[in-house]
Amino acid sequence: MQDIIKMHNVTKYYGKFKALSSLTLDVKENQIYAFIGPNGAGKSTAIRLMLGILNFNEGYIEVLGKSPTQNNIDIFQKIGYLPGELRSYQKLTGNEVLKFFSNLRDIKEDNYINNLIERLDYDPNKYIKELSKGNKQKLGLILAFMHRPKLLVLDEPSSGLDPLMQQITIELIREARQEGTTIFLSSHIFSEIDKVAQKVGFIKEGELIVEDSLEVLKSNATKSITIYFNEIVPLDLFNNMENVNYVENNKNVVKLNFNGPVDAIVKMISKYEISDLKTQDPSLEELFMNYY
Amino acid sequence: MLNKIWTKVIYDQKLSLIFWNLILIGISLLIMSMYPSIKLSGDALDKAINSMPKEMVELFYGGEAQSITTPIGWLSMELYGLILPFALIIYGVTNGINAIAGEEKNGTLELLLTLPISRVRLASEKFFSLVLGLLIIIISFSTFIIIFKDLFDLEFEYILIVIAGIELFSLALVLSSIGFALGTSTGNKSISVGLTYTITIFSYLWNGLVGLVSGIENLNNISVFYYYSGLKYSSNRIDLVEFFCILLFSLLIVSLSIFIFNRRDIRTY
Repeated sequence: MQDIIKMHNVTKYYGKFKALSSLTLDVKENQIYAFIGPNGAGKSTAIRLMLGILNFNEGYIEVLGKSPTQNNIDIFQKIGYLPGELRSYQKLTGNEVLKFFSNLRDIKEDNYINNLIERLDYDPNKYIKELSKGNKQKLGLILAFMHRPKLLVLDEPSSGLDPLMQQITIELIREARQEGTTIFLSSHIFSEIDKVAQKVGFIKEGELIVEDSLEVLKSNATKSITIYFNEIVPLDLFNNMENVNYVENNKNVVKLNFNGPVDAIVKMISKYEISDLKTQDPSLEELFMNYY
Repeated sequence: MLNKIWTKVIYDQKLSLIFWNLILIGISLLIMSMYPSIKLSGDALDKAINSMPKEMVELFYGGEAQSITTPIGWLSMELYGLILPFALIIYGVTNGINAIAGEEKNGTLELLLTLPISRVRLASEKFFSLVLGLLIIIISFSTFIIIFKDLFDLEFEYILIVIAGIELFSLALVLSSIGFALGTSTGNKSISVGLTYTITIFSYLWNGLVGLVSGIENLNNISVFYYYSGLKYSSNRIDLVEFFCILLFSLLIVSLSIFIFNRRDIRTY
């Protein structure tokens, strides 16, 4: 599969401050890549570098097969971008902003734009200065999606939206992917990433500390299991198991945290009578918290 | 109006342009309407002005003293000496700085740069709209003065107003270009405003006062105001070499700033 975004050993300094350190990531065609990190970790800097808004000091960036520089301005026809905080022309109405951007993108028909307006329940007749954060976000989403781009770069797509609109945003992202769009998104809403992302990258202090598919990250992560025995079991029952890294034994209820296969635990507990068993995969939030 | 960068700038400025036109036409009307009475009783004021040092007259009236009882002398002193040049400089410098640095500060530039439009085209169209705005204002009040001058006994050849308009355009263009260039190359609105107005005021004072300082009295030609002749009976033709030098200088600094803009990071606020 073709790489839509390639960032290799990209380093960015702001004066003496190193905002990104040898960042390497690849986003494949039609993939949804989620970029996760705390505030100031370098997420927005990475996004601005891949859009050519900032220049990098070292490394190499390719977006849609070309360097995102002024010499390759044509690639921006295929990119839709939602900034972390949309700031648009205060004295214009939503309709005017949409008209301006669709003219500059040379969009001939506005059926899809009207469809987005309707689905996001956005009032384009209001002036930008009158819009709430959520409504500005809706306008930003329409501007990003309006030309059916090949690559969507979404910085906090659900920020400021109510749960219903968050769900619609997820639907829009899924639909875009079905149409072949590649999506690079950064978000703090873990449930949103859990629902859509195939690949996840964790960034910390300008460095990518983990990058893998959500499935692999979850399977490698610590899982928990709670066993409700019908009898009191020995306190040291799981002490000799290598993959069990935590045991909480409360009479006949045992809670284990473990890595790797569950086989040894199942064999061990099968010797006892069990009334209930609950397993829990780690949430993305728990994975995130483990790294930070 | 929202299909190009430069048309959008004009669309955004529609109220501002109407305001500037109305204000300058209004001031022109007021000053023109005062001429019939000045013509009859301006001798005393002429004497007072002529008793002042030449440099002071240049400083306060924007050029050498002409009798205010003449139509050109009156308009030159009251309109073309200070009011019109500084009004146009304020309009041009403000919009020149806002063209890129203003959008950058407002945060609207980031999204604009993710459109399939090059930075060179973006900045060039912004500069074009700035020039167009200046021309619209100058043509409006110049046309007004030419049409209504006879109503107030202001008898002179209309070509003098055309030439004064070109002089005003040159002066405003060069200072607006400095503002545009500083804003575009640095992206810093505050620094650009400070520097451009410092250059403007220093240049103005230098032109007016340097003649009072012995030894450097001939150095007033480094001031941009030195090249502004305003409205004069003697200025009945345009100095094309001077005009094209000013245009070239403006284009040069604007091009240099666009070259820098094309390569620099966009600031985030």
